[in-house]
Amino acid sequence: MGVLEVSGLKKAFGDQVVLDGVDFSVREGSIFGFIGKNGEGKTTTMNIALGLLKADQGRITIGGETVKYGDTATNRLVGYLPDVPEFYSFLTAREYMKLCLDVSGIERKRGKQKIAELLDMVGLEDNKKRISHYSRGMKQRLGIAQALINDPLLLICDEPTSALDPIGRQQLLTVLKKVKDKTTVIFSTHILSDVETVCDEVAILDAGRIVRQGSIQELKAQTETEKWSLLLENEAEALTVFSVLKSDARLANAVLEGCTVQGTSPDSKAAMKTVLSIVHTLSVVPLRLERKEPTIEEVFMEVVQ
Amino acid sequence: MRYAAFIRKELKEQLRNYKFFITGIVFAFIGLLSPLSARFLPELLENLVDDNVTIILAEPTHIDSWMQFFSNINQIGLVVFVLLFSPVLAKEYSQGTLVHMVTKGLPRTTIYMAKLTVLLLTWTAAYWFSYTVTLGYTLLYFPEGPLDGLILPAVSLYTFGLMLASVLMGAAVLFKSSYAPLLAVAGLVGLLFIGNLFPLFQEWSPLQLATRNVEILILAEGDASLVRAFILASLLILVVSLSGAALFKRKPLQ
Repeated sequence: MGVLEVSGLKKAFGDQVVLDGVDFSVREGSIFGFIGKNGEGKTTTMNIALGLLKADQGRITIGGETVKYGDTATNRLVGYLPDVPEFYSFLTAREYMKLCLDVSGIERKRGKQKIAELLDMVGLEDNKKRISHYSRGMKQRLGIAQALINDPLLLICDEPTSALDPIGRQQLLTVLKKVKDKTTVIFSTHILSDVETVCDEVAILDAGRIVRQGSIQELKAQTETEKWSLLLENEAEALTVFSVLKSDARLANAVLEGCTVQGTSPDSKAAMKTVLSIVHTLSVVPLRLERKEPTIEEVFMEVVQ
Repeated sequence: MRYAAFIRKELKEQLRNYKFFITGIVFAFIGLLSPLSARFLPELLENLVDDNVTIILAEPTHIDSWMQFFSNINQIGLVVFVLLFSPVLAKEYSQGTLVHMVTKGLPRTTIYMAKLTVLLLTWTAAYWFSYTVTLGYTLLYFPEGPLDGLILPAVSLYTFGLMLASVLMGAAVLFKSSYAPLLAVAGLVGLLFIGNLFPLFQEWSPLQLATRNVEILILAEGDASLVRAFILASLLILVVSLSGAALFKRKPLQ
């Protein structure tokens, strides 16, 4: 059984159906990427998992316990980081962390040390500076620290990197990788390069349903279109090859970019055989011909289009 | 422990955003102003008017001081208090700060009760502080004034304040805007005034707790009508507080 199990989850806001029978499972010790277009229901799913929203149908369990709307006992097992975390700005980071520790109902033994460790891990200084003076990146890092104060079984991150600059994003992803040893992470985003960097497993949400789920390698293997790329010595050669390739119906989608001609095909192996035969006929010696692995972005685009 | 932790946060918040400071200043001012104005207003009026005009004013007594106190608390103290604490939940709703608390497993009832406690404690401290200042200066300026019968009218107005604070908190659960709880309290007071047009309602109305203070002070005793007002106000505090807590448990926080 996974740390988080979602089955048959349905939710509509008025006439608009957002979730239409969502099922997925997050296995222990993994970083799970939950991706989908804006407004597809990622945040709705997470809010239901946190007991902040009521599902119309379906069930979510965390650590084997069913999530209930309102005061759900499962929240003791969870840490939560929203996209733009808001804190009590009149407190300092330490005061806020102490408040989080106290409201979690955890014994205060080692509390002081734990707060210092977490602030250190996310790279925040333990000083008298109030949160009102923090930058967005600092708030996001404090968000991670507060989410981990209760040693959660599951860390729910809702688009945690969307509001950050590249450095802030890198820092946050590094922290997520660090916590993976102790805590399972589910992480929703539409920044697909982040998913590729940290996630072990991915689920793609589209039109209210999970349309693909698996490891990144599995998802890539399931893509129906494969990419090929041909690098030539100069642009003149590339243009000659390109005009011949375009006349072949199987390679009609080929594009020319400088010295490179590339295209996609449901069967890149067959496409490359044709390309090789054409360059042989033209007596052109290419610098490189390769089959390219699709990126997670290409996988996503193929699934949702 | 969780309740105490959230109360500490609330106290720190009101202290750091100067709400305690402003409340303290306003209620201290009321405490000082009431006996001072009772003692010196007649002399001030005499000095202000022309020599050809004669104003005949009765010699002020301790009753005038308390009359000023009850009137100032009604017209300034309660208004400032409700204005200051009207966004008791609105800011938390708009900023989403409660989400972190709830997702840490803090029961919503604890949040509601902690906020209500701080609201009631603030009213209690501010009101009795102002009362003590008024009492001290009244004894100073009107030493012959008796102390008997002071408690009942003071407790009446205090209870009325508790009732308004509870309604403020209940309305804060219902409405997400900062001003809506303020309007709800104003609406309740308005309804009570309209209800007073009907004699039967008047006999039960909690508004007596805020309007009959001087009368009770002079008579030095309450009556059955006042007892009914106390009972109704206490019931209203209980019902509004319990329903507020129940509603807050189901309130979407995002």
